[in-house]
Amino acid sequence: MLKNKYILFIFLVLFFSCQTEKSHETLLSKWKPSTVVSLERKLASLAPQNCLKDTFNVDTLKAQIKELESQYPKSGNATGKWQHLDLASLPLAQQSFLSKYGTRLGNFNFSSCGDVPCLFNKIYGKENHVAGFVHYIWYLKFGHLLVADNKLPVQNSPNPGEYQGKKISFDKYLYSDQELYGFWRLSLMLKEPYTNLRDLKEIHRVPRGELIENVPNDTCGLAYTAGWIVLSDLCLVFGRHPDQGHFYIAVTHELDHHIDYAEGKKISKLYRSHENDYLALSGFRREESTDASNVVIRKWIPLPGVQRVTEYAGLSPQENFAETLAHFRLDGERTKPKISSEHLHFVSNGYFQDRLFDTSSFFKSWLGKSSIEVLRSTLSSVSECSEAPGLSRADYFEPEDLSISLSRPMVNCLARKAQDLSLLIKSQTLLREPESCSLLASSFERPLWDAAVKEKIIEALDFSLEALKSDAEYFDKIKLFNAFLNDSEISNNKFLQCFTNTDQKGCFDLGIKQIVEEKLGELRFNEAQRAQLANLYYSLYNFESVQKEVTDFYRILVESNQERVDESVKVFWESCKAISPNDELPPSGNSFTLRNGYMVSSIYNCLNENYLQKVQDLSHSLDFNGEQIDDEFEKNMVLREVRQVFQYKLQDLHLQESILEKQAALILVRGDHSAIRTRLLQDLTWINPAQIAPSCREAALRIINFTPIYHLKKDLFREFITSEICFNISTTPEFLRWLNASKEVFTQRIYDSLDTSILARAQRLKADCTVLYPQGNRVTEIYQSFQRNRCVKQDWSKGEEEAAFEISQNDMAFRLQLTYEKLLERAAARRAALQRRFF
Amino acid sequence: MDKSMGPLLILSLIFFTSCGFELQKGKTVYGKISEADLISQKGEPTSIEKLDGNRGEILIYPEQEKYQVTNDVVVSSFKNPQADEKNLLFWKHQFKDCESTERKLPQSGHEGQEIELQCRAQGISVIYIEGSNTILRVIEYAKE
Repeated sequence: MLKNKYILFIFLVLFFSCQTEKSHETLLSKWKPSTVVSLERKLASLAPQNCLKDTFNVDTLKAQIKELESQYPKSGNATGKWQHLDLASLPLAQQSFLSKYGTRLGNFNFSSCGDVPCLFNKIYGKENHVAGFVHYIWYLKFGHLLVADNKLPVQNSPNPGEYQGKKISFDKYLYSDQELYGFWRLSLMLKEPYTNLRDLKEIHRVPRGELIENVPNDTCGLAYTAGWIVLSDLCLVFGRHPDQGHFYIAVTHELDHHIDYAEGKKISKLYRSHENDYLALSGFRREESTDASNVVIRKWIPLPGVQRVTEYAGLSPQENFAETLAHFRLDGERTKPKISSEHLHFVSNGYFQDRLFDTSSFFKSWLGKSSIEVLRSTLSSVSECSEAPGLSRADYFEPEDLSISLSRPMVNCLARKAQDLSLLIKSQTLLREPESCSLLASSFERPLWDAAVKEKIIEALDFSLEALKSDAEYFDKIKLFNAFLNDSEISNNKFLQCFTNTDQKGCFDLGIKQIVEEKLGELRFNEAQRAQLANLYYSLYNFESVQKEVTDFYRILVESNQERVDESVKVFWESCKAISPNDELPPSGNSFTLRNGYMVSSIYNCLNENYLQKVQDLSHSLDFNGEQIDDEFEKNMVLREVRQVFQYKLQDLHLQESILEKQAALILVRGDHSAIRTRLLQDLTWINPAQIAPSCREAALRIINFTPIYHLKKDLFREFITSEICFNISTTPEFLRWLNASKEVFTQRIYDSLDTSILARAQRLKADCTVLYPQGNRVTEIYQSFQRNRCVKQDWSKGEEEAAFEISQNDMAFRLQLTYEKLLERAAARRAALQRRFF
Repeated sequence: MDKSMGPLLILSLIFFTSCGFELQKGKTVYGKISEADLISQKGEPTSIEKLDGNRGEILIYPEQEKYQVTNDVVVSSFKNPQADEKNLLFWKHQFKDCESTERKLPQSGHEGQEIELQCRAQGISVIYIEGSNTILRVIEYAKE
């Protein structure tokens, strides 16, 4: 039965080349290439016995970029140029990068560059170096920018290249080769949800040798909800081996904060970790209160007896979330016993597709990834060995290891091929799995891994031998199944269909299960074969990988249409700006929100009222290389992407206009030459003697003839008013003359302030006395009330002393020579009258 | 005083003590109303937390709505923002004529510096994270 099967080998040659007829025409199906170059195979051929670190070179990175770029259409709608580069000549992903981040690359001489990696290398001052490729790969994998410039998003100095009060040389802001290797390794390790952080925009490096400004010295990194991560040297630490060190935990920890924000955003909250279920898992309660002066106190109270992954995870739920995810992902084996099983399940199931990142789950995952290779190879081995078994002996396994009895030459032949296959799997794993090098270096783990590989191969051989023995059509069916397996369009379409479902993953998993079962039933595989092949399909097309692939496709596609988005946003912005600005109504709506700063409500509300319609209009009008989007499911994906870039562009326009407005205000300030101060001093009726500075500010704001749209007037002119207009105004001769003339009026006002202050203190005193003499029932309250009043009266004079002291510190009181003693005298004289008012 | 006036005086006192302080329905007057008044307005809290020192206790209601009671007086409340209140811009607009101040809250951990935007004249503080425009909490207390 196993003889004359060589013809079947032809089927195997066709194994990866068959295509099925497309059933559903979308941009995705039309443009997305269905076959990709396998990086792993390229890596394996580069250095078959090495670890990941040994392949960190420009050739490897170029091959990876080629593979990543091949997942997108070759060209998009972009026209025009980025500096000297003709956008249309670049791969779509590079067009997208330049549209999004082109303005962030600074002013370097890029004229000799023909691609994005080269631009980064110019920033590094190097040619054909790993830096440029790692920066670009980071963007391809994560969609945000690994920044290479000299200005942090939050820093004290407004100038680039200045930090911690020093001038810093540019090279100190750039990553070292070891750090670049770390980022590259992380880019291979971290998948969903790290690769889908849509609001994370930039990762910055604090200059080498400096700590982060304005935070405690032990702060190694910061994550900002505004979409940034900042990393200092303290985070970028490596061990003796470049695969070890705090770097990995620290960078992942900061990314995990962004997962916390992204997951919170899904439920309209700022943090996922602040939800009750996570507070229960992490063991925190929030204590909120105000003190006697209404100062707000908010703190997290860690509950005792709760397991936490590190001491730092006991600081707050958000730190607990970031610490737990980072340690779980990078050190699953040791994290498992440190947290509760419920917490472990929350993290593993919620964010890592039930993976555990311990030794056995790594083995399972790595072997899962080699399933296709194993299936292909064992089928081919069976075919070849049945044709020409050869004579040489091999001892990779013994005849009794197989469940089917075979001739010795046949066993030898299969064993030889199995040994070759095991070496291939092991070398591929070492190269493509960032964790494998350190794990398999262990003399304890390595034999376990070898045994697992052997078991997998024998199991596959058994499966193939059994299938061929019992089913003469097995190879034919496998060929057909392979065509089905190679057709990523099926899973992509299912994802599109499930995109608007509230349970995307459930919808996708169920849909795919039905399709796969139908196909396997149609091909009449037996139950065992169905189970194995279905698992093979699910491992290739799991929800997370399909989600990443499809959403990246639309993100890149829409980002490459940035010119049209920009144009549409500008028209929309101008239409709302054209409405006469006013700030009467409160700002309403959150379809569009500001990144920061201010905007008068007429513009804000106009933008919000029309935002969704404009986004919809734009997304419907977009085409890609002349192709309209007809598919309803696909329209949803495009709409989501357009909404995001529309928002960013509007925020950019707001920022630009804010800067222009600030500049205009500055021109007014510079041209003032004390004119406003002079006007204030000519008519001093604005003075409130108890509050000279605030009343001066108010009067100045009324006089300044400038109505800002993107700032609050009080913020825009705060510095000008404080340091120029109102500066020491109460010491000017004009002020003093006026004060002298109005002495009686102001003296009375000061006395009124004294009365008010004494009564406020009495009120607080009454609250204290209520503790001693609480409110009684209707009969006892008469007595209690009497006691309370007596209690207040006992300490009344203390309140007078405090009030007199406070008022005597007032600038106006000082000028009117209303000393503490005088005020105290006045308070004593007024005591009876005030007490009558109070009680 | 005429002794025959005694019963009348007592009756008058009873009347005044039972009817003298009518709360505006649904409105919490911070620094004025008692714990009992609050409970009559809002019902029994789901839980109560004691504050350390002599700072009283926190009455907790659903949706993380909390009221601080010190010396039997409701001094402040903490609530989640609703609808437009979630937007920092809403509060900047609300406080535009107020001498508002901003303060960094002391915090544990390195992530997300909390900022308090305060308008004492309106008796309101809102908490947000530096760099974000989303309001986390709205705190009300007696107006100054």
